[in-house]
Amino acid sequence: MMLSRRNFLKVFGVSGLSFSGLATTLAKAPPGTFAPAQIGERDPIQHIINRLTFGPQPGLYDYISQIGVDEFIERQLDYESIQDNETDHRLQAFPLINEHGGDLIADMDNNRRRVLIDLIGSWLTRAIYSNRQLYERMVHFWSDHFNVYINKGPVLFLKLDDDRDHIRPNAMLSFIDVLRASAQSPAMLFYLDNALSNDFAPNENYGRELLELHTLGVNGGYTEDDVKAVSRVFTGWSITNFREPNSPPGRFIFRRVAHDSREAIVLGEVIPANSGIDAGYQVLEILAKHPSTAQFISSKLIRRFVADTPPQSLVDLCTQVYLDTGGDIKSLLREIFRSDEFWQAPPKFKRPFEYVVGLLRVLNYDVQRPRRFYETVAYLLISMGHLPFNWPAPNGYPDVGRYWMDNLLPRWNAALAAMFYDEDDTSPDYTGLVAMLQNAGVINDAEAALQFMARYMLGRELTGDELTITFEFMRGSTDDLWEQLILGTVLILASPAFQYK
Amino acid sequence: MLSRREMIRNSVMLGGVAAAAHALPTWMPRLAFAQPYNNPRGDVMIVVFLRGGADSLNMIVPFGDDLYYEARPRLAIPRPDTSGSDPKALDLDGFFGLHPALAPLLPLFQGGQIRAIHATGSPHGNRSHFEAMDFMERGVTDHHGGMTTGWVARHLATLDTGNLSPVRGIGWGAAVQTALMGASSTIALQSIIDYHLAGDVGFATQMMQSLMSLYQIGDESLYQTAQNTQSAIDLIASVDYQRYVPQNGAEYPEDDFALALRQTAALIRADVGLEVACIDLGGWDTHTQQGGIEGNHARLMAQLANGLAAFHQDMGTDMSKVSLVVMSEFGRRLHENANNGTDHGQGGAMLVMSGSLVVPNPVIANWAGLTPDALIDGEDLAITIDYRDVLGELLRKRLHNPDVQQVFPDYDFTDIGIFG
Repeated sequence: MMLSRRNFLKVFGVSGLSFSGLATTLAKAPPGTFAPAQIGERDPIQHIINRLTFGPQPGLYDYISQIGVDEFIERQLDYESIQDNETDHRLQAFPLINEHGGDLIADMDNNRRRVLIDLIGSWLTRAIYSNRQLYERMVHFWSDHFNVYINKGPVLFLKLDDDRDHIRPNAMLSFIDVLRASAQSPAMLFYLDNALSNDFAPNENYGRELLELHTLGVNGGYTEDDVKAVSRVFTGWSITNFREPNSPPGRFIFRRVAHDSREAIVLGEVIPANSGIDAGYQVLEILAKHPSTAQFISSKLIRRFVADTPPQSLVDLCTQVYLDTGGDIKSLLREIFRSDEFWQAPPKFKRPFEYVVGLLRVLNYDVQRPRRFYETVAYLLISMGHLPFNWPAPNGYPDVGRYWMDNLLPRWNAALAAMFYDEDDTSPDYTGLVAMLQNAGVINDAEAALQFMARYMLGRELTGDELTITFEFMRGSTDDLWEQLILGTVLILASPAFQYK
Repeated sequence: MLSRREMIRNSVMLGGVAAAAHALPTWMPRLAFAQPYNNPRGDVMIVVFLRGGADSLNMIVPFGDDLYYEARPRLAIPRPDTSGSDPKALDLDGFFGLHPALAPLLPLFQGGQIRAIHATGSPHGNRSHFEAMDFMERGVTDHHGGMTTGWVARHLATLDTGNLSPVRGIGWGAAVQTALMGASSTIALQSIIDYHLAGDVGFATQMMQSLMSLYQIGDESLYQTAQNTQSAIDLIASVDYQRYVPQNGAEYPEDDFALALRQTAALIRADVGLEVACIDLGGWDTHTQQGGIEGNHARLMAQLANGLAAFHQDMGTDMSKVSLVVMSEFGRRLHENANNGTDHGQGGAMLVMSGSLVVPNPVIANWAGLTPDALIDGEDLAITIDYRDVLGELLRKRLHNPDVQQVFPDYDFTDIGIFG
């Protein structure tokens, strides 16, 4: 026998279920019946779950089928109206996310580890539990787009402000809002060396990436002279230090004395001399409304939500929407979600972060000692090369499946770890999952139960071949139905079907 | 028993390996190539990529050129003959000298086991890290041509050495480098010891069998990866890395870069069929606080030199079947900037370490000088030796690749005479 029977017995009791546990779970279980998807056709609800959220969890399918796909999309876009108390409560485990990084820098050595756990833990908590799933996905999108690297200088600390004050409030507004916020983010200004840039010798790092990665794209029609001009315009956009009069350290400041106030020409447009900080705002406006930016941002959004190779037809459509709406993010998302290209999108290979979060959601984890637990998850993400904020280059983590596919082994081990983790009263919600099977009346039939789990996890039943292979695996190790089901589930979670969305 | 603690411990042990910087990948399907050439295996090739654009002018210092000192009043490395006992450049040939942090490599330069190629690079003129790395690793100079695979991958694909190993290529890190994109029989590897499915052997074997059956009926390209992962797990399980003792008294530092070299040495010794390995060392984008004799740049150089020197010592006489090359996406501007750093430039330097070097000069360069006329746009070191000439010669002479045109298409190679 391969699996520890003790662990199964502890969970299920000798005869199967602990009755009180089941009763509690049933009381919490969402109303309604689970409507299975059919093989061979795309289940729209499952597609929405896969692309707009971080994956299935108990009750989500029922919820969307009750309110309808269109209504779900609209509610997700109007994220501020979504109640999220449970997530807020869980976030209390990470108090430093409410602090300013600059106030924690003085005691850098003692605070570094705490800040890292709070940042990663809060990201995982929101991805797993937040009801504002699409909003969270957009936060991730912009965090990749405006990537900063927490291992450079004090960026780890400044990322607290970057995430809370610069990216989150703007993630669903217009592109110019999030661009402007990023340009004034201390984390970005330090990461791309603009904090030290001055009129005597402007540093070109931020200016170049602003054009190449944040707005126009590498072939967006700018020249080396534009890079130099933009870099001059942003001299003086800096960060307060420890000796700053009237301000604590680590905040944005415009230093007039370090600013090159001469006239500048950017993409053929004249930025008048002596415009002060407005010169930078003006450049950001020029960049944000440029057609190259419209196309670049559209194409990256489509890559994120539709396909690794963005269909040109949809890129063209979204570029026009961007130009018509002044880069309104919700309008772009609406256009994408109503497009044929979205509904006919090829399967997209999950990035490691969403694969891991997907495992924890589908197994309905109720994390009890979050700081310890998420530190363990962080190590898993490191082994997969996808710890948030840990990509050194300003282009952000890749968003194409080909990049991530060569590293399957850590995924298989992550599925095993998620299925069999049991520390600090934190483990898969076996009771809740069994209650789901009970509700569906498939609890005593191995095949029916497995197919139910497949519909829940993948949005479709297993094919004949998949079923044969899975049965052979689960029956080869144990005669116990529950143990078999757990083995079958972990195999499906490690299988190709759950690697794609 | 499938011990949960063991599984968690295993997953935790994988930690600590920092993600390396990678070039922006594009969609890269595995391409079908023409029938490969048959030739016996040659050297194991190790490609070390310094991510971020390494400042070659402060590594292989042109101390014989006064303009270098004029352009870098704060960052320049003092001439070897400077009076006083402070650290200074280590003379190589009367004109070029090594940064003192590269001192561990000086005996190898003196013994003819390592060479520098200066004022080298790729003639794409692009100052974007991502494009420059992408071009260089794909072996192209512009966006035309649609070449989607990496140059190392194409080398493996065009040369049939009769080697059926699943680890002909290894990319150290969480994902393979762009240079290896599209290669079959290649894996991303972070740790030899942790490269297996969690749980006891019996369970892991059963689960692996079932997983393979499921991947077989799925997406074909992912199945290839899964299959290769399985073969690689079996093969790497046979390497007793815990008992690996570096030879000749070599002592590796304990950083990720040296760890990758140490494990590569173990795989070479275990003869698992390794032909190429790619290793990254990041952090070279020194726009601010680069430092001169000491500082961030010097620390990186020490890490590079100590790792390479330990590897060389460990390999000993086995260096006769190893060739290692160090490269970066571009060099940096001649003039220092106002932040005690340097900005993106063009011409850079490469290092080659091999048991088969025949060129007598420690530094190979067609040095055009540092006058404004000789610089690109008056500010960047000119590229007088194309990096493809170095790599092409390495592949041809040491790895027995009979058709380097397949690796670097449309390129007219010049033989420099580096390798025997």
